[in-house]
Amino acid sequence: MEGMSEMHHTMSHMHHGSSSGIVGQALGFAGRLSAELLIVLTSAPVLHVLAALVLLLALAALLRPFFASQS
Amino acid sequence: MIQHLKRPNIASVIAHWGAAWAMILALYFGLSAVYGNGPRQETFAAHAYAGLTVLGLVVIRLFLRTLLPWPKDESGGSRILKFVAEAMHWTLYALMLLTPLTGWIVASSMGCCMTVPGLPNIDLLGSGLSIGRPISATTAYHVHVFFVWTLLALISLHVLAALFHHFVVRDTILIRMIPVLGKRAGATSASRAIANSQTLPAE
Repeated sequence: MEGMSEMHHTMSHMHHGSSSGIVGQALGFAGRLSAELLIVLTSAPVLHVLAALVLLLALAALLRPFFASQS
Repeated sequence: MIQHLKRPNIASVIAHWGAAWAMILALYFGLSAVYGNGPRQETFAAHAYAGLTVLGLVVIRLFLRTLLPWPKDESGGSRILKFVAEAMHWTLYALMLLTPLTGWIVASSMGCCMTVPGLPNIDLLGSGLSIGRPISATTAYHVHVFFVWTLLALISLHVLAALFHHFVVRDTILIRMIPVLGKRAGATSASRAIANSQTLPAE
């Protein structure tokens, strides 16, 4: 749990770290967040799960005509 | 006169409400694990299980939505509103998928101090494949928290929109997702409606 609290503490610091005005802080926060979003969306675990999901949905799309004719 | 509703399949409706309850539980246990004074290990594990339930249910919902016919939106309204509603739904699906996933990444890297019994390490997933890069738990945690608050904001809008449809527009958007109310109105399933339309002579 210490690790989680430490991360939360670090994140809280992100909101108070800069002193270049509210616009500067907002831009800084948006920039950091965008970079982190990009890192997460291109990370191995997320790409693996998304690839598996695409395969699953492709299977569902292939089976769709069969279920439409059954209903 | 019996009003015939085109409703989604019952499995999707059950998964919808199941995911709603699981998200409420995940939020409660998540906030308790960070800010509460109770047993944090157990609370964190409960948060993780509720989040994994959301992940499982959204995968089931996406599978069913692709597999089975989905009733068309007959609520009227402008094209822009329909586009916003559609974008809102798909953003909700994406967030319901990515929020538990980022939480799972965080939980997988906390083996030393906070373990979730039975939770596989997500870093081992597809380790033989060389797609994507490794990710730090801190980055995943920041994005997880951002996704949680975005998800909460969108769910609030989703609920407000459903209530607006029910009480102001007075259409069947909300009723078709509540089976008890639908039965009272003489509801038919989307598949049955499609089957009925197929038996009608072509115009």
